[in-house]
Amino acid sequence: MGAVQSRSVDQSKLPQAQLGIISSDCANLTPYLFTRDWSDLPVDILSIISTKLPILKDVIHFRAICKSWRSAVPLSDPLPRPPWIFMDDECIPRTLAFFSLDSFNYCIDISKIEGMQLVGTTYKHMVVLDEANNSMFLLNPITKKLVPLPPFGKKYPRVHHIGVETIQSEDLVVIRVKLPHESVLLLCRPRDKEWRMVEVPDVNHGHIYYRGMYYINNGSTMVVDIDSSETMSTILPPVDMTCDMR
Amino acid sequence: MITLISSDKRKFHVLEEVANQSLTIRDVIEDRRGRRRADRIILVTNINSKIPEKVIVYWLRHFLMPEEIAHASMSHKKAEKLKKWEAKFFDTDIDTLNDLILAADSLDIPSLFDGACEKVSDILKNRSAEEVGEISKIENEFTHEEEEEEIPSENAWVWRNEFA
Repeated sequence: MGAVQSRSVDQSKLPQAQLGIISSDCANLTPYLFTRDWSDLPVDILSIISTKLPILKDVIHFRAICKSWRSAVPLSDPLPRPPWIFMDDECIPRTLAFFSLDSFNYCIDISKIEGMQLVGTTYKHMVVLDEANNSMFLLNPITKKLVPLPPFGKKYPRVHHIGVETIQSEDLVVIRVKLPHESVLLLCRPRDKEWRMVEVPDVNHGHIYYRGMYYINNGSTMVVDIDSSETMSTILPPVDMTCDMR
Repeated sequence: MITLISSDKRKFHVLEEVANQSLTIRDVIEDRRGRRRADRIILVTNINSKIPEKVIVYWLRHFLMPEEIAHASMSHKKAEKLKKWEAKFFDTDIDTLNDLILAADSLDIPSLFDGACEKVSDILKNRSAEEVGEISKIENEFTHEEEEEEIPSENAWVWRNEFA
């Protein structure tokens, strides 16, 4: 992901946004008037109903119905929805556009992180690097809330965005920092005071972090236990594949 | 046979096997097994008085086609038929849905609960913001501040981008 900048916009290129979808039974909403009883529903029931809404847009609308519905479904911890694909086509300034598999295009206002670098995503947040202050944040794209990650300290006085790669992980923030002579993984949970650092071999092909194990493909696959930093096993590729590679 | 008594004192005689679909009732029957006949009377006064009929209709339909069997060996045609029946069953006014959800929750009838919640989400799905505003007849209780700032800023990016 590139730097976040404002750009001048050619108005004619803006998509002709249509305000709202008119659904076919628009005229007949009378049987569907949600009255007072609905705001008295227990929170757990409301939250179950909201999980049946597959599209984030519907969840946002759900939250706008009344106060109790709003508090029943916090956006701070959004549920898994169809993934969004980043569109490298910033047609509106200070926004990021996404194509979602729910067939909507989403546009997110990112003026709050102007001047910072988007370096990747976790499952629910975006990882933002503020190079000027050498600090990292998690950005909740919906609430725009920034959660600071631990400081880098003296070991990495200048973490440059080119050397940083975030690794998708469910429970942790995992980033790989490539330095001239070494590669390290930095791991933390959002509220940790400091990063945990693990030295790891360089990557040729691919790598992934999953539940305490780091898998690196250098032809064969090495499995590194993050707690002990030791290589637990090496998985060789199937024989016919090694033949092909030679 | 067990007897359910509703909040308006009406009696419903139901086969135990049918009422067993409510896990709450099943547990009560289980607890009272072997006791006097009077113990086969169960008060369901915590659910709206119109609802027992609906719940029993739902039970009977599902009793004829228990779900365990449904999944394993129900023919495609029968499954389609049940689906159609359910669609019709849940195609009711929103207040009845509310009562059904509460009844299914307190009587612990998972499939009924799930079906009713599903129906509510179907009603809310694919609406424009204007439509959602229209179907929400709950008195506006958001504070001025929330309404002015938070909600529009949250919604702005979705509204703006509903490209067809």
